Amino acid sequence: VTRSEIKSCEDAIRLLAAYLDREVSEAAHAEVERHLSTCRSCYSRAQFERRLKKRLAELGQEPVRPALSQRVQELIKDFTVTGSE
Amino acid sequence: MKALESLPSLRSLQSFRGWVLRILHNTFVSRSRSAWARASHEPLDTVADDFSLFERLHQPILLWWGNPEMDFVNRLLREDLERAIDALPDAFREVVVLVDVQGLGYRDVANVLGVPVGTVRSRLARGRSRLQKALWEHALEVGLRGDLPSNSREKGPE
Repeated sequence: VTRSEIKSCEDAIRLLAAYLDREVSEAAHAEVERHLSTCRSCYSRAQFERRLKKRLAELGQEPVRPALSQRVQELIKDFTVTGSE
Repeated sequence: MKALESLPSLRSLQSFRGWVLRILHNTFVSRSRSAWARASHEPLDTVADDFSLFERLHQPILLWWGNPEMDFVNRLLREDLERAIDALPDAFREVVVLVDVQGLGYRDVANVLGVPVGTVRSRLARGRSRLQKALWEHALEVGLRGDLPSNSREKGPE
């Protein structure tokens, strides 16, 4: 992400989802963090989106035993590394 | 979970894609099948995709009394979330499930589905928007947010 400088809440909101997904550059991550530390509204929005994301993640956790989950993650890693090369 | 038993026999990326998509299908079409069938055949570009639950629920004036948007999320039942995912069109449901439920990164999802990363980003944003809209509409139907201030229903984006 090259457009990481945040000058407004709109800029922050545009990056927020990717930030919460850990899909932004280090520079953009730092920019979002800086904005969230100074903007109550965007901080509240981030907390809300993070909580909703956590609730969705919980849907995938309960029925799967840890060993199976780990095996799936390993297979996904193997296949995606292979598939992207 | 039966699909997991077939893992050792998977030999190619193509079969892995099929396996993942089969799991997505089996996991999220069990309930509200008719709603899902309606939604999944709906053209992808006919619905506004900028819906934000936060903007509907957030009440800055109430910050010191409570947090309506967090209360809302905490009160959602597992089946509320599953139903909302069920109702998404296929293309959106796939990315929302893979990223938000399964925790895959954008690049991994792009590889699994065989689409560009930009497409994953776009579908994810639109899928999440629709998911939030579905949760909002369901909440209105069942009165989940009955104790919120009466003006919040008409409150639009700030």
